[in-house]
This record gives sequence, C-alpha cells and structure tokens, in this order.
Amino acid sequence: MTDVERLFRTYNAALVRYLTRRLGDRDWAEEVAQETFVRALRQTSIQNERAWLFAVATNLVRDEARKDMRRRKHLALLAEEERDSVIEPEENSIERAQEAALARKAIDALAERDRLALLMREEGLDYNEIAEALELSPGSVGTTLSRARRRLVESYEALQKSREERENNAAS
Amino acid sequence: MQHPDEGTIHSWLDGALPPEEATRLEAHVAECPECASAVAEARGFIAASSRILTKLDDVPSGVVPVARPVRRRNFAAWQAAAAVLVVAIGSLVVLRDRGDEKNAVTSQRTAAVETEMSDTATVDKRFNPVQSQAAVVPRNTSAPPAVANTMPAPPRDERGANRPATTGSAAEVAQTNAVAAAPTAPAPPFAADARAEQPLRLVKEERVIGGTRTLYAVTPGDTVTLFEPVASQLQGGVAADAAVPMERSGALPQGVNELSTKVSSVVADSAAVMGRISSAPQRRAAKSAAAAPTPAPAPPPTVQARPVREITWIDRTSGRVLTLSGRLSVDQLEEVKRRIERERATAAAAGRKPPK
Repeated sequence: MTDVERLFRTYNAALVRYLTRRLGDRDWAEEVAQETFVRALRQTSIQNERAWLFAVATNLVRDEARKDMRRRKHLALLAEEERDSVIEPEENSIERAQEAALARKAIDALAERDRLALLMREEGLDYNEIAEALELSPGSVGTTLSRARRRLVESYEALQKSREERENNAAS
Repeated sequence: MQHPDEGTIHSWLDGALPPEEATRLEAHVAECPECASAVAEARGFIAASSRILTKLDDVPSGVVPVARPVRRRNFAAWQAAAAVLVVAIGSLVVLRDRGDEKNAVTSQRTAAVETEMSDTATVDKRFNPVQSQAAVVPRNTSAPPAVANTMPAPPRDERGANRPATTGSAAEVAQTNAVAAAPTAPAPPFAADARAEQPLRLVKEERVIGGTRTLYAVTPGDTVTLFEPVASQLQGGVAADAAVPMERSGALPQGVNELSTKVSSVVADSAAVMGRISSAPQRRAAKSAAAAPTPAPAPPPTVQARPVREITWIDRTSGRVLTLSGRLSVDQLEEVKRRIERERATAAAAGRKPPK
C-alpha cells in the first residue's frame, strides 16, 4: 500500500463528509477531496496528516469561492430545474430536504472560520489539528467552537420556528 | 478557576483541557449551580449542532454543476487512460502491425471509449441511473501517442483556469463526444422496460481491423455496439516492442474476473497495466491511481444527448475481451449483454454457429 492509499483509506470518508457539509454538493465535495489527495502525492512527508489534509481541502474551497458566484448560481438553478422535472420526490425525502435546507441556512449564518472549525470538529479533529488547519491559536479554538455551536443551534431553531409560524398562518 | 467561560467549558467537554485544569473545573462545577447549568447548556448545544449538521449529509449530487476540469492529473487520468488501454488491447496488434493506421483505428475506438472514459470514474457503486453523470475527461499528454492524441478535455471554466489544447481531428471527435455527453432525464425507467420486452435485433455486423463489430438494435433507434477482437492475436503475438509486455497482457484476462463487468474494477487492473507503459512520473501516479480509484466527476452544465457508456468483460467460452457500448446506462448495458449471451448460448446449443 502506498502512503497516499493509506491516507485515502483513512481520511477520505471524513474529508468528503466535511466538504459535502461545507459545499452542499457531493460531487463537488468528492472532486475537492480527490484534488486534495492528488496534492498529497507531491508531499515527501506530512507531519500531521489529518490537519494537513483538512487545511488543503479548506484552501481549495476558499479558492473556489472566489470564482464566479453568479454563474454558478445560475447553473445551480438549471440543475435544480432539470432535477425537479425528472424526479418525483417521495414524502420522506421532501421532509428531509426541507430540514436540509434549514440546516443549510443555519450553517450559512456562521462566520466562515467558525463554520469550518465546527465542521472539522465534527470529523474528529482535535483542537491542535483545528488550530493548525485554520491557523488559529489552540487557545482560541474552544471559544470559536462554543460560538459556532450556539449560533448554529439558535439560528436553526429560529428558522424552524418561523417556518412553523408560516405554515400555521397558511393553514388558518 | 472561578466560573469558567463558555469557551473553556466547551474545551473541557471536547476533552481538550490539560488534565489539571480539567480536574479543577470539574471540582468547581460540582459545587457551582450556575456553572453546572452552563455546562448542561453547552452539552445541549454540542449535541444539537451535531444533529443539525447530520442533516447536511443528505445531499444529492449535481446540486452545483461542475464543468469538467481540463486536467485530471494522476488518479482519474490514469484510470481513464487505463480504460482506453483495456479496450485498445484488442487493437494492440494493429498498433504493432500497422503503425501508420494507428491513429485511424484507435481514433474510432477511442471516440467511443472517450465518453466511456469520462464515465469510468462514475461507473461504480455511486452510479445512479436517475442522475446520469458525465464525468471528468482527462488529458493525458504522455501516454502512448496513439492514445494520447485522442484524449483532449473540454475547458474547465468553473473549477480552474486551465485550458486544454486539443490535438487533431480525432481529438475533436472525442471532445465532441465528451462535451456532448451530458446529464439529461435519467435513462428513463420506462424505456428500460420497453427494452426488456423487445428481442435484440441484429442490425449490422462488420469486420473491422482487430475484430468484429456487431450492432444490435435494443429498441428502434437505440443501438449498442459489440466489439469482439480477433482471438489469436489478442493472447499471443503481442509485440515485444509494443507498450504492453506479453505477460502483462496475458495477465489482463486473468486479472479481470471471468464475466467481471464492473468497469471500475477493469480500470483498476488496467491502471496497473498502464503504469508499465508510462514514463517515470506517470508510473508513480498510475500506482497511486490503482491504489485509490476515486471517482470525482460531475455533470456538465448543458443538457443534450445521453452519454455513451461501455462495459467490458471476458467471454466465458472464447476468453476474448468483449466490449459493449451504447447510449444506455451501465445497468441497461449489462442487461443487453445478458441477452446477447443467452441468445448465443441458445444458438450454440442448437448446434449452429452462434450468431455473431
């Protein structure tokens, strides 16, 4: 087994999940993940592998975000139309999709650094790894995470509440 | 420590506090109701945010369409190049015997394979018939020339600044195929049923260099192509000077399980084969490609024709590497393959020569 193969087997799932949550798209996430491992090929050795991988993936995402946002949104709309015209969603998946949309909005309410720190923590990175990947001081990770978690939960609950209110109003 | 702040509480709950500090905090919380309730609240936030984030995992692919990247180095490039090789095994003799016809032959094969290549990476467990995806089209600039000339890639305007340099008309053909390969309405389920009812109709059979090509009509207007290489030249007589050493090409059919039809596994094996051909830098990449076959495609933004897909397997009786290609999903191709095999078995049993 080559080194990169080992890296891949160990970290790909977590990396893809992290990226899927961050990007909202699995294909895109897998693509960024693969690019990350490609870059790992070029390294002779990596000190803290997990931190390194997540840092590289995060930077790739950052670079992507600078590209043309408008075009991507337009294309996203097209993709959505195409999907909608083709697939008949079933009951569960509607609800799941709604929850996913709420979660998406809630996580978008976070500052980027808070969001990334939280997503990394969810993949099991420890405070030192998160600090290394995001170039934070280890002492500030706790504060960052506490702020991120609070904000995420409060945003989500607020969004849930206003949706329920709308549904009630519509019903009445 | 008096009344730890929220960040410290979270650090403690995350196990990130040094042991002494952790002990002190624990002792304090045991005696301080305020902090005890702060800890309870923190625990609640940690659990709730985990739950919320889990909801983000249930995301379909194709939410944000990605234009195909220009240069897929290493993994996908070598998987795909290897896939071309698998199919081209049958025409290796051609490469050897008819050097000047190299491009002509392989271009017609790789035109079909090109789109298969682009789907290779996706044709694995993630393959979702509901969302047909055309995948990455790699550009392999250092593969054997016959192959390399026919593998351009469309511009990657979303994901990077790279631009391809297409070479030659064969490349344009391949590129057209690759670009035209786009997600559409999924290979419609209703059509699959229709296909199941109809018998396979043999449309045309022709001898081409390297083997026989047979066209079947699955439904009117929908054809698949079965390519059978000429047997003797496949197994033996592969030139020593050709890219693939003999024991390697002999190993290919053995390496691929009998009737193994998963393209990704074929590709993985071929990646190892391909590694031999390449120059040094790519050899390394090919090894890694074989090691970590990750599909990483995404559907291109435009919606046009259905993509051409291809499956490859070893024929049980003849031992030949057969290839079936068409504008169907892999599952549908496999269904067609089964029917072809059934028909051949029936014909063979009836004592006639099997219909080709």
